[in-house]
Amino acid sequence: MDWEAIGLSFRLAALSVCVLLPLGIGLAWPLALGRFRGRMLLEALTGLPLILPPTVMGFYLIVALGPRSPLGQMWEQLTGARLVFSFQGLLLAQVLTNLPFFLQPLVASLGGVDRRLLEVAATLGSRPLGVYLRVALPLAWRGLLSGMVLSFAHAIGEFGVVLMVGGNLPGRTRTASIALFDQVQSFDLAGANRTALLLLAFALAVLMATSWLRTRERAWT
Amino acid sequence: MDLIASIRKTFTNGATVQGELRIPLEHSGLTVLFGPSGCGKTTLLRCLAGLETPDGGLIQAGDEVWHHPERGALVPVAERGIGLVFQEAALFPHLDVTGNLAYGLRGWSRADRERRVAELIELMGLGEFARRGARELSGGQKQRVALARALAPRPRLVLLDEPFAGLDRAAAAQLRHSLRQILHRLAVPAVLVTHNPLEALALGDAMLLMEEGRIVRSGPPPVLLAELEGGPGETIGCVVRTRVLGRVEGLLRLGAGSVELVAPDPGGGFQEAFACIRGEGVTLERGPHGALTPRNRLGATITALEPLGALTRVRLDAGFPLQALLTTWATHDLELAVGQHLHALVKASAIQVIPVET
Repeated sequence: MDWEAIGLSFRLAALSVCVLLPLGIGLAWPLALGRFRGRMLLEALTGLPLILPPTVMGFYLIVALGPRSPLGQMWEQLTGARLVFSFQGLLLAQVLTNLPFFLQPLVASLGGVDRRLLEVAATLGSRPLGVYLRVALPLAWRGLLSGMVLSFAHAIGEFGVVLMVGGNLPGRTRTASIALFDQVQSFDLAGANRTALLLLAFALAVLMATSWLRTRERAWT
Repeated sequence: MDLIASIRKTFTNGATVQGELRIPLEHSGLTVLFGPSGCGKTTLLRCLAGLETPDGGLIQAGDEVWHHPERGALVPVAERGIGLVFQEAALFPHLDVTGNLAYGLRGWSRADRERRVAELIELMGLGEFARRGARELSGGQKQRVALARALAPRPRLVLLDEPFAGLDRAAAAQLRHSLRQILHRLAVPAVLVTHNPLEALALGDAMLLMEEGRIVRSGPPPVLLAELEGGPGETIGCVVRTRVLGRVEGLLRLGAGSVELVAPDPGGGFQEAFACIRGEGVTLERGPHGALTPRNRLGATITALEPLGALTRVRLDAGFPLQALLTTWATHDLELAVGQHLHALVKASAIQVIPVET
């Protein structure tokens, strides 16, 4: 078993969730509770990675992170290293790809919070951001947890975008699903079997955990 | 200083709510916003709180303009200093009772916050529930917490949207009883939305009557409620303010001027009460005593006869305004005429006694 690749997958997924937490919490606010023009556009943009072919996503990310892009150039000036085919570039790609998996359960949960609670909080002196952070978000904690679990799990399994943006550099961008691809390509079917079984067992556990969270949420309200 | 509002709000289905009102903010006092369900009372309340944006009109507290006809909302909900209590208590389920009460006290020093929460817990009799979660409380307890939470940050005005509607009778009566005392003690003015005439009568200092999206009349609750039109059983009847003269075997002796009435005692140690007398519980008698009990037999003069199809409403002066609802046949048999003197017999069971909450 390629433990290095598996370790890298988990590290990458954990860091993605760390970045997604503030980003997702920030974006879920207008998506769930906002009334503004352009909300549908924001909803579509953040949901895009769900239906876009991973190769299309990967292609645009290479263009956006590449050495000729403003972002790639800025990164190179700051760190002296390239963003594509690096762990950091991969992390950025993972964050964007997994954003909808984080957002959707959270936004759904926020949408289910009793509006009167938010109104009462406002009459008690809370500004909209305070209402969100002190009332809406604590009450949507199961959605937040679901989002964290789902985006983590999806980040572990992501293949297409990772291959296009990260390539296959052992110890830097070679994740478990890419190692599995390699094992199949080199006819190491026993090794592939072990890696696949591990990823399968992990995915199953994650789905069971989220469905448990969902039933608990219904009991809560 | 008064809260002056002139509000107009049109919904997408074409329904319009509008009204002009003035609520004194300087001293405690309870203004009842009264009307049938769906007449726009809650919308008006939500506009005052800033939860709904009116399409037109002015809302002003003293010199402070909250909503301007051209410039829109100028003061957001959070800065209006308005406490709000919904029909369902809407307590924060992730906080315990203490946490709910302290929610609006952000920015207070820790010592002040703790003192204020302790004061309200004592005032509301919530001592044993201080650390309980919202789901562990009964309906009446929840509503007490909601009221305490609204009062905690010392609001300029409290808005109560049918706060008793979801409670059982005993809990509603208990909360109604403490509400006035608490508002008076904390010197907070309040607006109560209700469609229950008994609540309006028991609690209101002033009343605004709403019909189909408009405020149609304003005045003291007993006067407005007695004028409410409606068929038998729909209205509370004539309203007389009385003193309690005595209590005997589940009955009350009530004095209204020189007249004495006997009515069932709803319980409680009140000294003053409104007696609500329905027209269908009043019969008329000409000439000397019949075989009927002499209690609640009042000398009266007919002031008006109003035919209502098969029934006729007879308006009387019995030292206070009184009405009798008779079949039109009966009015012919009795040969009733305006100015005639006769006796009105009021069934004790037709008198509803509403304690005046002081």
